[in-house]
Amino acid sequence: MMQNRRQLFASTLRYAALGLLAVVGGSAVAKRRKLVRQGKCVSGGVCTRCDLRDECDLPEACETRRGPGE
Amino acid sequence: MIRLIHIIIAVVALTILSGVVSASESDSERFPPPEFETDYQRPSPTTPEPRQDLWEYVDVAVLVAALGLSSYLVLRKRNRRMIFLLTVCSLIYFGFWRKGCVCPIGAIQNMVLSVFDANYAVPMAVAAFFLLPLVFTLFFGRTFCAAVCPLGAMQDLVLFKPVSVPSWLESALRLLAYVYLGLAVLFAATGSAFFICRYDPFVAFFRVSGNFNILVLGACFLLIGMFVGRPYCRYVCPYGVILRQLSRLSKWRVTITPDDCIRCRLCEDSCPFGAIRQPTADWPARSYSRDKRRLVLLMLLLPVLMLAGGWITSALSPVTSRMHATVRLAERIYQEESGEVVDTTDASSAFRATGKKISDLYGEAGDIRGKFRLGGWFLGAFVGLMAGLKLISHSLRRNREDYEADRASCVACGRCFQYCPREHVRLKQNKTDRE
Repeated sequence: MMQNRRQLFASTLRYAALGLLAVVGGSAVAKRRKLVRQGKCVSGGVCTRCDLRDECDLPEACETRRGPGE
Repeated sequence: MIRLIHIIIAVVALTILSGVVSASESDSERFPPPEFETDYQRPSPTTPEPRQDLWEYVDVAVLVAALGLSSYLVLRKRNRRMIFLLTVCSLIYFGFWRKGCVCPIGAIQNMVLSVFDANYAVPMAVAAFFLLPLVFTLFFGRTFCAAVCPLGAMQDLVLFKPVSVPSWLESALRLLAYVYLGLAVLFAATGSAFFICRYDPFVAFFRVSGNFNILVLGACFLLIGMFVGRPYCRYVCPYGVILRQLSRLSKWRVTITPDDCIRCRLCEDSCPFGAIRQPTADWPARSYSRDKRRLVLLMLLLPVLMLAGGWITSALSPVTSRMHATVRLAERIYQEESGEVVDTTDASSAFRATGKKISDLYGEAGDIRGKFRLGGWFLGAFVGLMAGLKLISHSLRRNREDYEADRASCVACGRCFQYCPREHVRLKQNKTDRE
């Protein structure tokens, strides 16, 4: 009986923790998308390896696309 | 067995493939070097170059494979030798090949910064590195620590002659990890520094370069680790703090014996981390009433500890806030302006060259100090809470009939399986059945 109650409690907490982790992960994805939509840099200014470089209008990305001395 | 070997070979092949591609990518730079010639020698970077998203996802795939394999080996196969082999592979891939970055331990700071900084988005691979081991821990226990974490692997390999640490000292030292986690969160939340990465004792070994003091720190950890099992994981690791709490809730856990415990105590001697709990004796009635009184007292003490911790840490905010570059700069400018120092630094000269008002800088530094004061209350209250809960946990007793691996402390290394005579009987039986 005691064991079952403990298991139920642990199981409830486990899935609550799992839900919390899902919320954390989901909010990280949502925030990234929001910043991209707002036209803000999500690559910390490192353009050469950014997948969005070709479409990005931020000055650093334009400069990287133009290349040096152009 | 053959299937397992195939899986490991696949993981290693994937490792080498991704590493080769990343090495070829690292030639390009964000800004090309200037065309004019000077005597200036460009320093070689000590941190790994950022990688394309695709290869970060390969890292995530390797992490998932390693976590899955580790869980399978610990809970299903119960094979210490294979766990050890996976530990070595993880050390090579996540440690020496990927140079210890990205790692879930440092990813704590990225996650925290993403919460507190409106303009920072945590990279998806970093988020996955933070979350995946936690999800696995909720189901399988600390199988990440067992054979995936390169820091744990490094310490596991140097373990030579383990000595047991007295339980009071073990409990006290474990509080360090809570303080470290709290400080790391505080510094990341205020945008001051990535404290965990800066003082990672093993990353200098992985990159074969780095600050001399950090190298010495790492060497000290390895030296202590020859006699005390995984000192960093047990007493310092901030991610271990989270894993320890989540593993208490794990659906499956390490069981020392495959069937009945014969109380031979061999497992207790085999565990270098002091994670084996003895069977409990019957609790005498007089001790019960005394312990109940102590429990009530400790519960009343808990808010006092939290308040005291909060007050002390908040009072230390002038010291902790110096970790932030703006506060340091403001202090330096103040010293220069008041004549306490006569020379200038590069930072103070650069600030003056910007033409920004000094009063604005002081205001900014004051705001940051305010954040540290507030954050100090939370940090201190957190440490006080954990200290209080630790004291309370010593007053609680759980009935144990057999020798058991402690869910929180067990890093699932599998050493106890190797020593259990019942496990040997099981293996022999399996072998006979196969024949």
